[in-house]
Amino acid sequence: MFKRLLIANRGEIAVRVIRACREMGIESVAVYSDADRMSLHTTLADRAVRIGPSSAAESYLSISAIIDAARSSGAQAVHPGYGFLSENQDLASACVDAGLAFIGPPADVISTMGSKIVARRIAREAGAPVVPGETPVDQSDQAIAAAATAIGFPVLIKPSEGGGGIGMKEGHAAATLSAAIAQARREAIAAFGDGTLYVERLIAAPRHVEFQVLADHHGQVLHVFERECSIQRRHQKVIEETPSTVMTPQLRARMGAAAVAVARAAGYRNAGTVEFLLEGTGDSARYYFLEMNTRLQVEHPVTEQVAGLDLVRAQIRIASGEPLPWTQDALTQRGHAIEARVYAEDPISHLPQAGPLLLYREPSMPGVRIDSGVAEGSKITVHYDPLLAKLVAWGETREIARRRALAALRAFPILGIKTNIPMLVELLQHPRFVDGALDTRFLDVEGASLAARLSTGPTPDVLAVAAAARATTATPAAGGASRDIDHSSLDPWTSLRGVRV
Amino acid sequence: MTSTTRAWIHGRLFGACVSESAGDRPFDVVPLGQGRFQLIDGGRRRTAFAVVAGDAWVFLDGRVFVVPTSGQTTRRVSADDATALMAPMPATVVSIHVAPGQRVDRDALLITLEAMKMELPIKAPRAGRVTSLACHAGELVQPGVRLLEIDYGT
Repeated sequence: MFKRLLIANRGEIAVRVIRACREMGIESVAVYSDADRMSLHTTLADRAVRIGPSSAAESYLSISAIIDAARSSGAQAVHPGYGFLSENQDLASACVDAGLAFIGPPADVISTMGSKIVARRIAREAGAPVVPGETPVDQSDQAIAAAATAIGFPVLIKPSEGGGGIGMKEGHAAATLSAAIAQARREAIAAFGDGTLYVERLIAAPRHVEFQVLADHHGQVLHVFERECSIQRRHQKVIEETPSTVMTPQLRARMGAAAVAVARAAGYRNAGTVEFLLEGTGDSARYYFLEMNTRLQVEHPVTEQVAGLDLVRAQIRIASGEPLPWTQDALTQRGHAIEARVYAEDPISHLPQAGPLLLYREPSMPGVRIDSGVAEGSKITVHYDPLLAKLVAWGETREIARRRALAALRAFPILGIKTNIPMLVELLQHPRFVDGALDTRFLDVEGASLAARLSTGPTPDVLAVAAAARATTATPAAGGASRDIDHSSLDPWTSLRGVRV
Repeated sequence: MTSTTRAWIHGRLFGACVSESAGDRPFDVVPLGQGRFQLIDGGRRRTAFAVVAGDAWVFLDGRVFVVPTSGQTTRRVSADDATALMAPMPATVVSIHVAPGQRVDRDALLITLEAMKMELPIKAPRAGRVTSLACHAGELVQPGVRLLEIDYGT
């Protein structure tokens, strides 16, 4: 086992890995940028190495800075976390060249599965269905329409070089396709400088269902069940849960076997996730391979809560050469887990927020786990991802887990910057969420009505608390009480018992 | 709408200007220290959290409110406001989807910004014609910086 491990990341995932190291008796080495000099992960690790200025490009994205930090600190292994360099094959190979263990798959597997086209071919050859689609060689309107007809309507036309939903147009019949083709081509050229179009079957209201896989260096590959991540906004997940409300034992067995087959065909090692689109419900549902994420996922805690295992510990053990301690048949699911991501963003406009956490108190209650990278007094900057914390609720049933998540969010005060907690509270009570009737367009369809519920101003009880807070705030400069009030003779800290409004 | 709510503490008027009528329902608020407050509404007790930093920030039942010190509600930027075409926060211009002279419909995607790994679409508040661009792809823009100009005339 490793004696010292460097975490090439920041925020909650760095904290998560540091905690796993501490349990396992491994010394942890944090890396930090200037903005993170006193951040939670920096202060929590056994050692910390500065790797550059605040800009991520010059710090957390600098392979040479990270390799230098690992060398100078005497680390034997590097955990990349998620985001930043976690799916960068150059970091993986630089680690190997420097004699460091990279806690993830081999560099060539990252490269292979990072190419959507190659990953799709590997999946198809391994027997996992993919969404039917092609980039027609002849890019004329007629050829694209013919390809669409062959694939079957409805179709999605999108830039071949694209991403992020830009230039994606729906087509519902051959006769009305030319306008969609022209518009998609125009947007593709404007955004990516390349008008080549890709045509694929449109899965109208799919669910996003992914399978956690683990593969050791001794030939064993297994899956740790599914996670449903259909609640997302602009491809950013907001709520994840396991099990999926539409999963049946037969469907789980089929999709799990497909995920394992893809991982095996790719020569996968360590923890990874195979993502699928799911159409329909129950045994007759159809699933399509989407992509493979060659790293630990943000939402890994829901799997840990239901399967009762520690995925970060498993990652470290696999990387040190140990065989997986479980067989597929030994893994079981118990109860239900829901994760809500707490972001530093305006709950209505979704704009990211920056500023100090003037007050930050994590709730503590049965069945609730908080993975966070901040503490009261932390300053949230614009340099990095706005994820503050992940609130994970477990219960014997989905309804118990949902109620626990709701109760915990209502007892999770964060003041000084706006967060999406008010939106999460409304979302968890939405009738469709309560029923588990989810698809990836949920927030597109329901987002406006959720936001409308948040647009009301402060109620009298809130104003009463605000008045009391002003009255008990010692610094007059902070804008306390107000004019025409004499409080010179009153020291609120000693004499205040109650405030009546 | 605007009225003054008065807080009584040991017979001394403390007072707070608020933006909406607080009605005549009495609340008892007991400071518990460290930003915690017991809110007693009739027989019902709840815990609230609040800090004052210029404005008063209040957390109650999963909602957060920023109560301005001045008693005025914060200015709401309307969709018609020309500031909608300014950068709302420090961000990087990822892509520009229009060119000067181009006519755009309402809600047309004009510019994509990125900040904190999130994409922020800048859309046309009304139909019009793009008269000039004031930013380029890859540029780091600051809040309030004009990104482009649109002529909303006929």
